[in-house]
Amino acid sequence: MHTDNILLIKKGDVIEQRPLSLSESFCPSVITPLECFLIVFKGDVNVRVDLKEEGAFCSIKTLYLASKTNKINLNIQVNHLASQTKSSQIIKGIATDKSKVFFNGNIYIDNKAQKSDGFQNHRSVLLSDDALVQAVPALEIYADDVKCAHGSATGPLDKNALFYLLSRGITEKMAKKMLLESFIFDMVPNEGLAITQQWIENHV
Amino acid sequence: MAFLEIKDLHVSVGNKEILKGCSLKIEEGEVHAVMGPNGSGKSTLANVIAGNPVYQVTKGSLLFRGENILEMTPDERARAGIFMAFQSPVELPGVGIAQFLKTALNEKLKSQNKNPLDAVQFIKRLKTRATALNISDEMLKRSVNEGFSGGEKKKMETFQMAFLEPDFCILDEMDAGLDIDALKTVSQGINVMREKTRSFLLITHFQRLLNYIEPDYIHIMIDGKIVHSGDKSLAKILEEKGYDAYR
Repeated sequence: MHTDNILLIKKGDVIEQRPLSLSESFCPSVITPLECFLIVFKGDVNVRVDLKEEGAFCSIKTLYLASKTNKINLNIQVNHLASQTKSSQIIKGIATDKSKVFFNGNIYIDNKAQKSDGFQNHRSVLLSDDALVQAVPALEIYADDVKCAHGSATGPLDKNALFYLLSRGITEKMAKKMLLESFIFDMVPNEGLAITQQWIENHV
Repeated sequence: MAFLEIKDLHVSVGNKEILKGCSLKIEEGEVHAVMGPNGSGKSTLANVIAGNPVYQVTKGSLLFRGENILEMTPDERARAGIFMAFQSPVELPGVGIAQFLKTALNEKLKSQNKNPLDAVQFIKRLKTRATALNISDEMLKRSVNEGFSGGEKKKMETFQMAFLEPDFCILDEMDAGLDIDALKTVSQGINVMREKTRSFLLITHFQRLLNYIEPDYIHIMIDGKIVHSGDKSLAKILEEKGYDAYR
């Protein structure tokens, strides 16, 4: 089974795939915004984005899939350093077995970055009582005319949803698969589907 | 052997006992209604038969066609032919209705060592049942219950029931929140399913539903027990006297 961390990054009209390195930094501009998708299975991942040009934009979607005794340290730092810059981060994860996930998400908005917009949302599902997810989202804002929002939620699969599927004759394995797929599929690009589906199949 | 036989059933949620010795017998082809005030344990009874793990059975027995279903998981019970239409169906964003029903039906066929439906057979069955309940193609393309009104959710529950063709249908507060037109459509959907080999358990507070779906028997549940049973004329008496006469 494939367990190297993956980076899918949009270059023009195509999506390039390469291994995700320990430290990634990006400096998107108006003409070349950053649109990327990360799949993280284990280890340290540090992503830094500097929005230095007025109106620059980045969208970072991250999916972590933690199993066994794997440990993930995920740090995402987005720096808004010019006015009217915009960032969007969606982080979703599934943790099972005895895995541990530590997520730090920072949005820094400089005093020069007026009218900027920073968004971050983190949601994760715990499939085992022994799995741990610790999320620390942080906002550091030095401008007074900005929009910034963040949110985080972690918990087991919804019991009522699971019972509803079971009550229709769907097996527990299949029901969990359906719920997990519906949880993440709105964010996974086609290029990442097969590997994600395979992981879910192996871990429910 | 009875179709469904419940004997001296005691059920708790946490430390609170809700069913306190409930007994009920249903034969094949019969329609039974359980009526009672709020908090009497009616919905608990429905959920326990369907296997909701929130409820713990502490005493008593529950036999479906002679088989002890308390030892079966909710999905095993469903594949054995039990269906509950939920009082408050959950929303499943991202789970399409067609995919959901196809999976449910094919799991059932698989457990009976039958072949799954092919795409053409599936669409045909889906469309036929949907048309009968005035469910549009647009609605079938949506996620299960997502953004549906209360009435649409109840219609969807009836539609799922019609599609899956269970042998035992439990309808938990089917009339709650339905306007008169929706109630008629849903009742019609249920009535066409009445057959010699299919039984129903209707849970309701109100006589209103029983004007549209005529039960063979009515049971009154008070404080976790069935305190009185009779034929359909009992509904009229209840309407006049209320539940107080049975407390």
